[in-house]
Amino acid sequence: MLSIKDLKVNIEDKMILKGINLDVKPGEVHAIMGPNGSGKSTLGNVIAGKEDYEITGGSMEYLGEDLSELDVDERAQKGVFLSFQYPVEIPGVSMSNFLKQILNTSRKVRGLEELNPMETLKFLREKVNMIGMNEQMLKRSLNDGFSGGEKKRNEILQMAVLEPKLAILDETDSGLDIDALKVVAEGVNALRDGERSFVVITHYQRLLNYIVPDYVHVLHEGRIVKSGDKSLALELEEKGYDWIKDELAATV
Amino acid sequence: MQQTVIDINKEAYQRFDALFGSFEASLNGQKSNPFHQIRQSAFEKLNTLQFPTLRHEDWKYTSVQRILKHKYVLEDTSMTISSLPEVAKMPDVDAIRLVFVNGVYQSHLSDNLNQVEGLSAFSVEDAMNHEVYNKVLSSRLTSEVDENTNPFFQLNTAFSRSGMFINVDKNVVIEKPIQIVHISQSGDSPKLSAPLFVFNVEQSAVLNVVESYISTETNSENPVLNTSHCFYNLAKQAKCNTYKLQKLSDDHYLIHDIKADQDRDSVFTSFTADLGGAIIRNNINAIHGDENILTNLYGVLLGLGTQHVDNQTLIDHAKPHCQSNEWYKCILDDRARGVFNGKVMVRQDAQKINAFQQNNALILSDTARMDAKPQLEIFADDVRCSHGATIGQIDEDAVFYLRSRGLSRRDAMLMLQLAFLQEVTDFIEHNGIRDFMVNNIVSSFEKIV
Repeated sequence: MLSIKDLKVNIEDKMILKGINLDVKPGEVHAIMGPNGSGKSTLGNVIAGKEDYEITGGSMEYLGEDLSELDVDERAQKGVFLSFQYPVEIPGVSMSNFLKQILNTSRKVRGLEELNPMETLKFLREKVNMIGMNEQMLKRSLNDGFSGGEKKRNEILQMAVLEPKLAILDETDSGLDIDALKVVAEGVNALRDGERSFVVITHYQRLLNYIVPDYVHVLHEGRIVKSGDKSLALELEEKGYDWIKDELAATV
Repeated sequence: MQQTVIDINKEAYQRFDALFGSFEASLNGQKSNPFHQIRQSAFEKLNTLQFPTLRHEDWKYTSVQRILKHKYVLEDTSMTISSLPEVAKMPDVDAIRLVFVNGVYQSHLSDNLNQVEGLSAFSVEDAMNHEVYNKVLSSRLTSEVDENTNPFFQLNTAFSRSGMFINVDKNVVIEKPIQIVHISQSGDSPKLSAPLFVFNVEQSAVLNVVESYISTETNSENPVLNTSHCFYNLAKQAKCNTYKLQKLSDDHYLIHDIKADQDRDSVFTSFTADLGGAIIRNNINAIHGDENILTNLYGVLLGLGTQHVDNQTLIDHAKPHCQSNEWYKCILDDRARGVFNGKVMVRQDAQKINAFQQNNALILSDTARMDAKPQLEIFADDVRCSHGATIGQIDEDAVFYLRSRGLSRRDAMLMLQLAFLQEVTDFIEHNGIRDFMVNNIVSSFEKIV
């Protein structure tokens, strides 16, 4: 589904990603872990199509297409979804109008018929309830005045509405209490259908208790320095990132 | 030799002088009506005032020479159109309608206001001879001609033909809004349209007024200059909402004047949407004659091409315990220009008043321009006055966020712009009128590439 080869990325002449290799097959869940500043969020943003980054080497292929040739909205329409670490507050854009418009745009590009207003509302209500949100939320402005937890839930809600093929969750667990974390994870798990793939970017192993990954990769200074299965996450939690750093230093 | 601004203004006055002569000649018997004396003194006053240049503080950002270079005539009083243009219709609002084309009343397309319980409507001429209404009308007009320093107000009064006086009886709530449709239609010469309306809202009465300015044909050689004046006289506890939608094609002009005289416990709200036109100037002036008065002035504008829209507001807080809210939002693209000059006068007696003013502008191109000038003059010492003006651009992070959900760049921009303006349109209480305004804004956005 997603095949990243030797990807190198700069921000303002500073090299952030120094040759990433990542292969995500349909239905797989990959966790990307790593200390602050290791390039985790950059990787997520580059896959989603943020324009501030300069790709200086390597390739990103998604469903057989060169991702770097596509604009952010084209990527979204082809099924790439990024759950933002810091969702943007947009006063004046009502949640319901926003969700209706992204739902019907996405249906249109998938060759499906637009839902009528009644069907749309019913669909949105189902998703809202699935994420454990209050329906009153639909009347508010997009992320405007939302708590950290509400914003993260809202990201998962949008994912549920758009039904992407590849979802990148950028620190979806940060700022969440345990209860909210469970609800968000349940939302994600409900969308695991054996076809949809996930890249879960996180600091902590905690989220991975609920969203169990197939692979865990450790990103350090712009490179994936260690890969393994879910037990790697537990090991990291126990030993900390210094363990990786020490191990790397020893091999040099 | 190049013509100076002063020359252009002088020549314009001479042309209007000739037009006034032929206008008077066409009036025949009507010249004996007391209103004609008011016309004459207005025209004399115009001569002493002269048309403004950029040296006039109130016209610092708006040049009128482009307007004044044309040779305007008045529309033939027999001119009619067969049907109401679609764009004028308010789909979900049951309104009482009055229709004018280039200032000429279209009786076959208009409703009879006198059939509505509690409403009485007269021509200004008839009202001047009315035993009850003549006092309020003639004193209002006479003092305004005396005091008003806006030359276009005087021009409007001098050339006003189908002026109307509308009275709302005490304690009557007029459920249906009155919609006044002004249609500008280019013809074989530039036209001057000069409507004059006086609304007298008696004690505890409620009135909603919608003014639509639209155009059917477009011809920049022969534009239509709309000058317009609406007086609102609000008695104790009266409530009046006025809405203006201006969607003229980009070669017509509008100089629009609203004056509200408010008595104790009255509420006056004005909402103005400018979505078209070449040069638009709005003057709104609310005067507080007693205590516990509320004035709300809201406005949105979308400027494209070389459009120029100038909003001037003046709230005169003369008495204590009153409140005023002003919020104008502007979107400017291409080479469009917007002006906001919000004056708030707080006189020495006006203690404990609360005046709020805000103006926000979004600039979409390098060549668009916004001039914002809040102007507060406060002579009382125990008041709350706040004002703010922002001029900014679309938030690219918000655009990226929306695009990452599959919306095209254009759809994302439109969604953000509409949201920006909707913060103000949300204040429109009447559901049908709010939908009408928002739908018109949305359809104007379609013109943005």
